[in-house]
Amino acid sequence: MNTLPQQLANGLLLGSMYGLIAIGYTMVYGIVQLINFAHGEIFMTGGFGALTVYVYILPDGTSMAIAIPLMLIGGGLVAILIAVGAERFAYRPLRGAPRLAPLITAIGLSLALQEVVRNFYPGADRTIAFPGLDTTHDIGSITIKDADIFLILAAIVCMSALAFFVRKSRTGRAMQATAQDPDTAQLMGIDTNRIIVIAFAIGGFFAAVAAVAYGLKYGNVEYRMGFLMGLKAFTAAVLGGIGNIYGAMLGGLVLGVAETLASAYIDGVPGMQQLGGQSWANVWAFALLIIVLLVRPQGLLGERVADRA
Amino acid sequence: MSGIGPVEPVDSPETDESYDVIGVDGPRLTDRWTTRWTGLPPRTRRTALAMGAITAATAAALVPHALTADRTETPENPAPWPANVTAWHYLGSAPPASPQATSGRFRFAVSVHSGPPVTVRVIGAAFKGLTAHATPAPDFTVSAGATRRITVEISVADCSDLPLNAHLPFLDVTLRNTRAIQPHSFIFGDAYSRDLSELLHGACGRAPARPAPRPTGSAGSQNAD
Amino acid sequence: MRRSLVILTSVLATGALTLTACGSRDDNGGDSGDGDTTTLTIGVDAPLSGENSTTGLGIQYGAQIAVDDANKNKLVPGVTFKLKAYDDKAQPATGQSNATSITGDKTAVGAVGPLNSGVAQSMQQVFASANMVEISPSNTNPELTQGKNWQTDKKRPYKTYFRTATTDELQGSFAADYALNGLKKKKVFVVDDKQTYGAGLAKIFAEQFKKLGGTVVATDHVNTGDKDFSSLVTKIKNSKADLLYYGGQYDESSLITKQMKDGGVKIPLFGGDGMYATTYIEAAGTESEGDLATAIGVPADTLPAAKTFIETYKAKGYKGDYGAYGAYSYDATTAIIKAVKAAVEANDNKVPSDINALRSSVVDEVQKSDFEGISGKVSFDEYGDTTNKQLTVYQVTNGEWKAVKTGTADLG
Repeated sequence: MNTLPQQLANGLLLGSMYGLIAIGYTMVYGIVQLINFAHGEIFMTGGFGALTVYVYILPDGTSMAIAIPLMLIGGGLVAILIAVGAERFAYRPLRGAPRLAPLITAIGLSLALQEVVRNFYPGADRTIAFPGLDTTHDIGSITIKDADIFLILAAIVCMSALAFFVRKSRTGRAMQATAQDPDTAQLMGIDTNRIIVIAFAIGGFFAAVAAVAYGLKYGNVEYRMGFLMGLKAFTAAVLGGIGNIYGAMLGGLVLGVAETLASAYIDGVPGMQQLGGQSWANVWAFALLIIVLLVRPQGLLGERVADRA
Repeated sequence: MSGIGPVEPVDSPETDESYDVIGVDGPRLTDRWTTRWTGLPPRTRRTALAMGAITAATAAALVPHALTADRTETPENPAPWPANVTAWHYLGSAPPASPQATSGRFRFAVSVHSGPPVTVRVIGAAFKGLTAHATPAPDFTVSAGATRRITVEISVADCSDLPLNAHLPFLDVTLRNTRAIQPHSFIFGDAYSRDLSELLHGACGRAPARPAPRPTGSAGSQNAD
Repeated sequence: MRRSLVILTSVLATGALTLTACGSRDDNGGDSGDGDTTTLTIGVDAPLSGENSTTGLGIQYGAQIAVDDANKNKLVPGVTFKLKAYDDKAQPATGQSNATSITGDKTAVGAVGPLNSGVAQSMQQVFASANMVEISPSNTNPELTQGKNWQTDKKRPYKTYFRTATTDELQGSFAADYALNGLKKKKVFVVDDKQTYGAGLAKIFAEQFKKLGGTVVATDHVNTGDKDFSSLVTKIKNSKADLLYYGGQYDESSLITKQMKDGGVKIPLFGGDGMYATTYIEAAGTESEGDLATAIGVPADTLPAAKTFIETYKAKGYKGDYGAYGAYSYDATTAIIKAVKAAVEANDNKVPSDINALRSSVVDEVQKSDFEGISGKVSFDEYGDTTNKQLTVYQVTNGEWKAVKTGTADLG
C-alpha cells in the first residue's frame, strides 16, 4: 500500500491547525513586534469555551450541525475576550517598556491561564472528553474523518476571509499601515490602539477555530494542550516569515507535512533507523526550521526588513 | 514579595485528617464548588437541589442502619476465589511413562492455603501444539492446608509453531471451588523452562526425522495470512 | 493607573509561577506529640496532578486509608502515623527532590511510591543514602531490584528499595503468551513512550512474543505529551499488524487507540499496568472496546480482604482509581507500619529516639515482612521483590475493564 497520500493528508491537516494558530502570533508580531507566548493558552481557553457551550449550555442530543457553529461562537468569544483582555491589561501598559518586559509577561500570563483553567474548570485537572466528529470517509487510499473535513474547510474559509479583510476593507488597510509604521499611521489619523485590539481579536478567534477543530479531531481537550501547539504554531509563524499572514499558513503546512513525513519515512532510510519514528518528528521539524532560517533568515515569505527589531 | 507562597492543602473530604500535600495546589473547596455551582444552568441547579434533598433524606434514613450493619458484618466471610489461595511449585521432571520422545512428565506440588477445597484441572501448556493433563486423573482436589504432589504429562502433538526455547512457560489450568471457576495460568522459572525445552528439543529438534504435519515453520506461516 | 496595571500583571505572573512551583515545606509539626505519643511520618510520592494522576491518586489514597486504619486500630501503641503526600508530576527530577524532602523530614520513617519506574530510578539513591525504606506499589521495571544486567546476573542495587508489584519480566511474558495463545494474534506492532517503564516493558514483550513464535512487524516510539498520532496510525495500517502493543501510560495510549480506530485500523491495543485505569476508557470512549491491559495482582473484587478497603475508598469520595495499585499501596504502607511496630518492640516498646536508628531497623524489619495483606501475602525476596507474583489480563468490555485471565508465577 502506498502510504504517501495518506501521510501527506495527515501532514496537511496538522499543518492547517498550526497555521490557524500561527496567524495570531504573526499578526500581533507584525503590528506590535510582540511575541505573544500566551497565544497557545488563548487557543486552549477557546477549546474550553467551546466545550462549556456544548456541555453546560446546549441541551443533550443537540445535532452537531447546530452545535458546532454555537461552539465556534462560544469558544471564539472566550478566546477573543482573553486575547483582548491580555492586550489591554498586560501588554498595553508595557508598550513603551523594553522588549523583554512584555515577553516575560506573556510567559507569566501563559502559566497563569493554564493554572486557572486547571484549578477552576470542573474536571480540568485531567483530559476532558470533547464531542468528536468521528465518521470516516475513504477517498481513494486516504481515510479522513468529518473533523478533518471541518478543519480543512475552516482553514480555507478563515484564510480567505482574512485575506479579503486585510486587502479590501478600510480597517484592513489601516492594519497594513500600522504594521508598516505605527507612528506615521497614527499621524495619518489611524486609531492604532483599535487596530492592535483587532489584531489580537482576530488572532484569538482563529485560535478558537483551531481549538474547536482540535477537539473534534482528537476527541478531548486539556489544560496543557496549548503549550506544544503554541510552540509549534510559533515555529510555523517564524518559518513562514513572522509578520506575514500567508507565511503563517504556509509555514504551518510546511511544518505539519515535514513532521509527518519525517515520522513516517526517516526510519525507512538505510542507516537512519535510530533517528526515525514518531518520537523524532519534532527534532526533524526544528531541524527544518534551522535550515530555512540559515538560508532565508526572514522566513519563507518574510520580507527583508532593515531594522525591525 | 517572595516567589513562593504558602502551599494550600488539597481539598480533603476530612478536614482534620492527618494529611497534606506538597507540590499540588488545590483550590479552596468552597471556591471550586461555588464556581461549579454558579456555572450550572438554573434548571440543573433546581434539579440538583431536589436530588440533594432526596439523597440527604435517604441517607438519614439509611446511614444508622448501614453503620451498624458494617460493624457486625465481619464474621460472615465468603469463600476466597480459588486463584487467590492456590499455589503451584515445580519439583522437577519425572521419568517418562513410555520411552517415546514426544511426551514428558513433570512433578508439581500444589497447595491450597485456605477456604474450601479447590478442584484443579490442567488444560494446556501454553502452546497450541502441546497437550497437557494431570495423571493419573485429569481432575484432582486439594483441601485447605494440604499440599498435594501431582504429575503432569505433556505431549507434543504438533511441532509447527512450537518455540523450542520458551522462556517462562505457562501451565494453563482451571481452578474450581464453591466460590468460582477461574481460568488461570501458572508461570514457572528456569528449572521448568529448561526441562520443558529439553522435551521440545527431543520431540521437534530432529525436524527431518519427524516431519511436522505442517511443513512450513513458524516463519513461513506468518506470511500466510 | 498604568503603574497599577503593571503591578497587576506581575502579580499574575508571580502567582502563576507560585502555582506551578513545586513547593516543599519544612515540617514543624514534628514529634510534638501530646504527652507520650510520637508522631511518625510516612511519605507518599506519586503523580497527583496532570499525567498519570488517576493511578497516582489511587496510590496516595490507598496509603491514606492504611495510615487511618493503623491509627484507628492503634497498631503501634504510642505512635500516631501521619501521611504526607508529595506530587512528582511523573518527573524524575521532581521525584528526586521530593525524596530529598522526605529524607530531610526528621519524623519520616519510610516512603511509599513512586508510580513510575523512571521516577524511582532517581529516588532510590536518595533513600539509600538516608537508609530509609522505600516501597513502591507499582514499579515494574526489573532493573530497579535486580540491577542493570537482570537477565544474566541479578544483583540488588539498593537494599532500602522494595516493591509490592511484580516485574515486567513476568508482565511482558504474560502479555505475550495471552496475545499469542489467548487472542491468537501473530503480527504485532510495538510502540513505546521511551520512558524506563514503557520502553522496558515493550522490549520484554517484543522479545517474548518473538520467542513464542509471533512476528514483530514494526516498532515505533512516541513522546509523552504527544497528541497527534496520525502518522503512526498510517504506519500501523500499512504494516497489516493484527495487534498493537503499547508500553507506556494511559495518557498517550487512550489517544492512540482512538485515533487508530477512527483511522480505520480495527485492531486491539494491548498494554501494561500503566494503562489499567478508568481514565483510559473515559478518554478513549467507545473506541477502547476490546482493548487489553495486563495489571499486577488479581482483580481487587476477588479479594475479600480488599472489600472493606474499596468500600472505604468509595465512601470517602477519594479521587483517582484504586483499581490498579490502591490495594498494593495499602499493603506497602502497612508493611512500613508493621516494621515500625517490630522496631519499637525490639527497643523495649519505646520509639528509638534516634531517627536514623529507627529508619535503619525499619529497613531490616521490612525485609522480614510476612503478613496477609489485602492484596495477598506480603513478603519480599532477596532482591526486595514481592513474593506474591500475580497478574491479570483485563479487557474493555461494555465500557469497563473485565478480568479475562489470571496468572501466578512461581520462579523458585
